[in-house]
Amino acid sequence: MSGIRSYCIIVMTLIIALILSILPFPHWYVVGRPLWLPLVAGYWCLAAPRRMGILTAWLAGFCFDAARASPLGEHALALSVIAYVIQRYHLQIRTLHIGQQMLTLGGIFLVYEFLIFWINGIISKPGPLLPYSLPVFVSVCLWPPVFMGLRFIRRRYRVH
Amino acid sequence: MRFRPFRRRSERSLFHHQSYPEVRFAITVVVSLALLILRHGAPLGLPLAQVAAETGAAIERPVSDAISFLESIGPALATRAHLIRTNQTLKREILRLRAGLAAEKPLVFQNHRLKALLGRIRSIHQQFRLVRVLRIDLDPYRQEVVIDAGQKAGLASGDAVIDANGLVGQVGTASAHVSRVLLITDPSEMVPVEVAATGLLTFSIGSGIPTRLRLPYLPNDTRVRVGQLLITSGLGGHYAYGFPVAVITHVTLRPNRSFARVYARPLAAISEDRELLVLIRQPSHGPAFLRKPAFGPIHKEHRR
Repeated sequence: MSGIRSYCIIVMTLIIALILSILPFPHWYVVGRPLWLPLVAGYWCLAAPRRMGILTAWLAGFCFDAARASPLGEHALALSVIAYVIQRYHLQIRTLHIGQQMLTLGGIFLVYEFLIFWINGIISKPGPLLPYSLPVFVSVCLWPPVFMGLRFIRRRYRVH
Repeated sequence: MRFRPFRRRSERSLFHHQSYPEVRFAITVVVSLALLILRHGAPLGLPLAQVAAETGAAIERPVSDAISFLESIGPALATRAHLIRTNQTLKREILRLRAGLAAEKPLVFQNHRLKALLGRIRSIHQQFRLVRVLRIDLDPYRQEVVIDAGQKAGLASGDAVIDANGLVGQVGTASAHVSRVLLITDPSEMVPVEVAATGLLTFSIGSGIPTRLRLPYLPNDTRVRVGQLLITSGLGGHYAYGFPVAVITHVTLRPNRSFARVYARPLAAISEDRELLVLIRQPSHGPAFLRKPAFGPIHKEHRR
């Protein structure tokens, strides 16, 4: 499959993740809302690091910031950080067992949420730290199905 | 390997053989930080945020429509007997409420008279607008909802938003067709409140948790008790006097600290509301400096 089509598929999954993370949903969902964008961007950084990299992750985060009117650059910065880490260590992470992958990504998502917590604290919107960890937990639990679903898409359309 | 002292130009280019993720990473970090600092220093992002709100609403509106369509399927499938029964109960309820209103009318007049005697008439906002919730954000650092009316409908930043039970928040930014409502539970939101039973004045600050407000400025000899009602005090002129806000749920006296730890639960069912009321401020109310919007151009002809 040509590079542009691979890229289109990656962008489409990212757009779906973006829509999932800004849709209106009931309260219980909103509080533990999974980090769809880091999940999907993280998968592509792991599986197709040549197509999905820091700049794409940054752009996705920028769109997320624009769509939610959060301070521009906030999620973009956090996403580019985790994209860099995953891309840098993608060979190591790929060899891990799925449980170990979940633990590793849990750490990475924690960094993501902590960066957002930090930025919010600096621009004087502090919140309690504990609720930040709930989406991390939910996202880590969602990693195996997301991984399998996206692997199916990657094999079906031969993205690499 | 063949010896080539002079490489061709394309082979000498910086990113030819390998890309440098560190360089890209540094670029994105610098650009993000620059954006954050610029935004923090001056509201440059405001026009952009309005455009983003409008485009976001373009996605959210069809979804919201679909959800209300799904919600409307239930009533459409209800049986005739069920409808008649609900109709009867509702009619009875109307009668009961009318009777209650009629009984309270003298009290309202009396109240007005007494307030006039005290010389502190605080008129409650007159104009309401029913709006629909497009999206709810209940992150710990960001408690807000997006509603489907904006400047075109006469809304301006600072308008109070209520539901059937109590105060919900205020309009933060109003773009043409959508607005963001900052909830009272947002960490940056502060509401001047009054304990209804005692008249004690204080502030409530959002905690980032949808079911909790903090009242951090109550001293340790406070007489606030669990279960007492908080209403808006009207001080500062931002919210009108007398809207129910929250109920005290937790009081801990801390003699080793300056202030007691007091929490309250908002009365508004923020996470379940799909419809809210915006109270559009009348230009004639309050002193002149309060009528000025916090930011953003408001056209006079849109506000009656």
